[in-house]
Amino acid sequence: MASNTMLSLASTSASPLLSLQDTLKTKLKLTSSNHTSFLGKGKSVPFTNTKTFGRITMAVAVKVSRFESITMAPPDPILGVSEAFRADTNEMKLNLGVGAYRTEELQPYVLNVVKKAENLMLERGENKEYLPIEGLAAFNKVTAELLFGADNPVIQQQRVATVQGLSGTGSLRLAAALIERYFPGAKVLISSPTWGNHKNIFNDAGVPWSEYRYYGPKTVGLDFDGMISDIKAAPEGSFVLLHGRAHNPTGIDPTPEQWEIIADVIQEKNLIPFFDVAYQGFASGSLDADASSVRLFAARGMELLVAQSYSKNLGLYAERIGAINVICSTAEAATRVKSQLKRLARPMYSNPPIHGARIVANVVGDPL
Amino acid sequence: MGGVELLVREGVVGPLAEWREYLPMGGNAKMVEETLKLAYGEDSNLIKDKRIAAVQALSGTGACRLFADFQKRFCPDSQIYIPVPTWANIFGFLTLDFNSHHNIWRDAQVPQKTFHYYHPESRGLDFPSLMDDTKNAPNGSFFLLHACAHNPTGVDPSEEQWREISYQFKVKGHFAFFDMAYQGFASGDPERDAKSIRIFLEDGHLIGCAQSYAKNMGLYGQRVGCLSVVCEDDKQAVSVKSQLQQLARPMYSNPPLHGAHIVSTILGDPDLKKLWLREVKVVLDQLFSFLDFVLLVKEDCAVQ
Repeated sequence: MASNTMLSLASTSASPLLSLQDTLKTKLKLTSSNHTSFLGKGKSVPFTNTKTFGRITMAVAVKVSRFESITMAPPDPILGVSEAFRADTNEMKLNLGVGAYRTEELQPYVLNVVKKAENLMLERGENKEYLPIEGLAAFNKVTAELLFGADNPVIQQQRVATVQGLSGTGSLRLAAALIERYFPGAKVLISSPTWGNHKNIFNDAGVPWSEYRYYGPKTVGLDFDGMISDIKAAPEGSFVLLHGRAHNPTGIDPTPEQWEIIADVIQEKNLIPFFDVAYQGFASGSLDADASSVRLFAARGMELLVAQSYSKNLGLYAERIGAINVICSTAEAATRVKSQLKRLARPMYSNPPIHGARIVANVVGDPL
Repeated sequence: MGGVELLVREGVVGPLAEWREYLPMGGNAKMVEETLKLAYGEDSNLIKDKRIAAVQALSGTGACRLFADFQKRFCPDSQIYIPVPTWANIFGFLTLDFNSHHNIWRDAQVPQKTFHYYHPESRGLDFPSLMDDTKNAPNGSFFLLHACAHNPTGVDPSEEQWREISYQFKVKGHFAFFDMAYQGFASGDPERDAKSIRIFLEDGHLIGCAQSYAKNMGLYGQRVGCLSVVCEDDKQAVSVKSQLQQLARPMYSNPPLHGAHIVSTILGDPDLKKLWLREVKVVLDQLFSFLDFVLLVKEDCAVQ
């Protein structure tokens, strides 16, 4: 795994506590061995710098970078494809990599409603001041309502802690950070296969994970027995990462009956459901239908986590707009959870970007 | 900022289809390029030689956090020296948890130490203690420095003092990480405000730098910034940039485009850039007028 390679390399890099001379010696030693070094073999110690400070003249070699042993990270499996696509000169090229909807002419497609919303925002001349840490209140309200329905008891009873996040990735990362801090040792079960970045997110957040069977190659369908069996075997208190609808990458979803059984097992085994909802509206064309799995779990009175993204369903990819929702058993718990999500977000980026949130609030919040 | 709104109304910046899709993980390349020129100099050899690993970041906070994570990953035994006092996040007043620089490196799990900075009795810089702390720190330590307009004291080292700090850093092999959140707002002249960084670069330091457009372009809520790390050569810069992106991917995948697009449009156009620099001066002059007014009121009250 790339991160393990990085870490082992980091452990062989020159320690920052070495003096300048020791660092130079180490660097030269690394160069002369077969250890990968970006200074290359035989390259002399680069430039010396003579500087006069008052009465003292000192020849000081340019400090050797303490990051010298850093190797090139592998290209991202998904976003790296886009970069390779851009670089390719073949006229017949087609990018089937990143999940971005394109027109017949292969052009990005901005929804008309998004353009309308932005024009509206321009006319209003809204300012660019900081959002609160939890994001735009109007956005948080409409995003939770879109997920559950405005008249859902969890909303009416104020049991949902919602914090605006940096699209799906950022929302998942906040949830992962919450798990790491408040459920130390708890692991997340992820489907096999799953979206490529899920593992990176949990790795970097320091949350252990394991896989449950999902895709059955023989049937080219859901390996439901394998899935249930693996979820049943999970330690109590584990989180189960489920794709709300339009499973990425297989496109295969459980039937409503299967969702009931999955919910049964999770309840029996005292596990915590954790939904990644990145395609609400794109699976069936109905926003409500695509949220049915999440609503099923909430209707049972379960506590759950839900990460949302507006990258695809509002075409707002690069605006980085999404949310993390934690549905708690009481309003009071939701308030406390929200405060801790904020504490995790602040040393990451202080407060989330405003533009995409305003678009969503205007689009989803306006009945038209 | 009036000029920016004018841009949008004129259709220079606006809902453009080709900008809607994901930015590359490193962000808006044009914005990053222009941002580096601000910090490192329009004609910087480091830029020409492609020796700077740089990515768009989530304003200053995001740039600091990305660097802290990078420091943790590749120098796992290191710690960070933070000045006393330092940036305190106003939001934190609600939770009494407001030492933002501390929180950032803490959540990145990098141990912290402090170094003397402010001298309350003289309301100035405690330079002797600062130098002592620099000398006493283990060789090769990481230091967080405010490039200009120290937050919250507003007290900066003089040019001569910066030169001495830079010299001592060289002797000790320390790593300087600059947080520059107010370029243009300290003196009204961005070149002048970057002087500390330029001094370190002249002395051959390989620095890190966090830049933010929250204040100096009024883009607060757009979260636009940049993290840069000076490397030995262009190959290393490519590697380091790839690792920074690797850290950003599981945090937010790629940075938000809107604010970055505004910045790259402004800085990429000579006329717009001039307009921006004029507006920065106007804001600063207004701020100083207000300060004068406050002092006047204070004196009045004291007399009465």
